[in-house]
Amino acid sequence: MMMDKQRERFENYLREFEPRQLRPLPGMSVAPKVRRVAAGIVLVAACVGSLWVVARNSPAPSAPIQEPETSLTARELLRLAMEDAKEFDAALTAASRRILPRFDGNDSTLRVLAKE
Amino acid sequence: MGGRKLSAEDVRHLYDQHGPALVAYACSFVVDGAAAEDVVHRVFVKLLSGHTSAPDVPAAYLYRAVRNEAFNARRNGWRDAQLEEASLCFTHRHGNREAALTLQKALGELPEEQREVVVMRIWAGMTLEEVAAATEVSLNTAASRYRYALEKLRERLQPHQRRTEDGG
Repeated sequence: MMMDKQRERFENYLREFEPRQLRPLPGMSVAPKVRRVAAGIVLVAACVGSLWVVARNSPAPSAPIQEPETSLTARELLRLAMEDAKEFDAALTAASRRILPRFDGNDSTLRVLAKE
Repeated sequence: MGGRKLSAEDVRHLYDQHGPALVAYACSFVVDGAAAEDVVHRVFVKLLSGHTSAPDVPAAYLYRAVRNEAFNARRNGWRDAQLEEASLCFTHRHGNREAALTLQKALGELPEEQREVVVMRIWAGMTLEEVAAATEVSLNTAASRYRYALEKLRERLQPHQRRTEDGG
């Protein structure tokens, strides 16, 4: 019978052999989590882009964009996307309300831009 | 089987966790690596179709399903290729094709219950407790099957192992 040390060495040797790599299952080439993360990143990028466009076109100097908060939100969104889909959806909704220009007030950014 | 249906994410998780080891296992029934991969795929595609309830012990279910699917493949006219000509089921980290071939042959010669245990332990990374639960045997039985399997594999692979350790 093999001694423990020998056995461990042989087990490690066996692990040098890797089973054949499997091709992805049909329709599962991109993991849902990865898709969620990608969607989150696209949305955050869109929000930041819209904010930048609005700030550039605005006649009066607008409030400074809080970059650190945006990147913190992106990180937080990324974490949520990996861990909790429901929380992630809720956070995306809240983030879009906070970051995207409002359009439901008389002096909302979009209304001002539309008048211009 | 439990009552809950498996979601696509459950299936994907099982595929990531057990897929490669299941191919290694299937290889001992169908020899050719590509055929073994097809066998494993068919099992998971059936799971994805959503007609299967979540198994109580997923590993046990998957290994049985792969074995049955491999037997079906053989019954349905699949022919054994010569192992030397077939696509290999394993690759060796340092590119030793001969050793990979020896391993594949040696695994195929093990009794099924020993092969199952060693594949689950080495390539699926399962603990002996998990292996015992998946194969529905006691921990002692799983451990002794594993020990015997390693003995036999070592007899066959020792020359290759020595060469690797000597740096050759």
